[in-house]
Amino acid sequence: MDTGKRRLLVIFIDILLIGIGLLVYALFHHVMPREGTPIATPFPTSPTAYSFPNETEASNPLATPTSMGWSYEGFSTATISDRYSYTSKNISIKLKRHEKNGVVYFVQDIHIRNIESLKTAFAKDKYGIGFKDTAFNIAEKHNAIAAITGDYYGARDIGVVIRNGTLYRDARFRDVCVLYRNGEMKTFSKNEIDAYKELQNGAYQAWSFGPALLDNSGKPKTAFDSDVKPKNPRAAIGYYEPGHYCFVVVDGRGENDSKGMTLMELSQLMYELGCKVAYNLDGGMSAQMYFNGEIVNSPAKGGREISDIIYICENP
Amino acid sequence: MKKNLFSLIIITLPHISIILSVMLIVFLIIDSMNSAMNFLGNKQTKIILWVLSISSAINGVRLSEAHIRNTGKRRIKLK
Repeated sequence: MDTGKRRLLVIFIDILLIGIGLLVYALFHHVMPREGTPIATPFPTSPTAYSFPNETEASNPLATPTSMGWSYEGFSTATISDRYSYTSKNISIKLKRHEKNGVVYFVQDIHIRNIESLKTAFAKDKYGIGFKDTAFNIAEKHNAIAAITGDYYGARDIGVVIRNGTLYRDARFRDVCVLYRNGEMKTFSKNEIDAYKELQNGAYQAWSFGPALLDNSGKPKTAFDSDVKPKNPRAAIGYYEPGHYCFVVVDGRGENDSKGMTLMELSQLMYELGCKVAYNLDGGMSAQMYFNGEIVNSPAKGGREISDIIYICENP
Repeated sequence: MKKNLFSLIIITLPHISIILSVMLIVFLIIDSMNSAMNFLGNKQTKIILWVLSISSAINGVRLSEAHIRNTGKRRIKLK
């Protein structure tokens, strides 16, 4: 074999090995499932703190504030559900589709009486890297009424993960959003978060994707700790007051003829919705919203399998 | 046998450096677009960095050794 041909063969083999190397790397990095274990279990809480108010003890238990649950006039004694709303004695969800400046987005306005109605779920019910399922399947499996994409914690091995009161991972990665058992939500920068301390303070959920979309005074932000700033499909969670939250999903990349939103636009939207705290979740092809048995938005390229969801459900 | 294995490793090392360097360039590009995937800070990448550093160091030593040898030969020829 002459030198020219040998050189070409060597280059070909090198390129082939680069491809194989990248495939093997991807396999170990995020494809092959690896189950993890919790590193801290929930701290004990008062058993009466979140029990439901006894309806026979209150003249109008749905609208009267009690120390045992959050009140809201929109709760109903009977469970009423249609394509755009759901109300029961513990939950009220209103789904709205908006179209503004060539952007389609969906907002679920959520009131819950009890924090236990807002839960998170892992794909295949397993915590770890590489466990994936569709948002629809995870939501159906957990009898969710409404759901949104989580932070896709399984795509990386860093970022604080607290789910339903259990600490699974304590490795800092950008902004963190913490939902407490008392219903409050706070966002922390990478340098501020102390997962163990927050767990002791009653952290119930913690997501690590971000960034935080509003500043400490609830105003829109202009600078973000994120690389994914251009127009994209988006998913976000917003907080108004304990028991009152919203899920927001923005369609993009041409789906639904929607362009998607930049982080600045999403920040402005969450501010206009009246949120006090807002946090960006995993977007792109992951951005999916579920309500009453269907995915309501149009995920980019049909969406992808994800590692976790945030969902609303009736308590057992 | 030992000599063959050693020469095989020596021949393979430059290719290992090329392959791992291109892989790291791919990770750097992905990381600049979406660092949420943590392509640079995880265990696998650290292993790649270790192997690349060692192979690059050996390649460097071999190259500079060859350079010195070639320069020496040229000097002898000139004399």
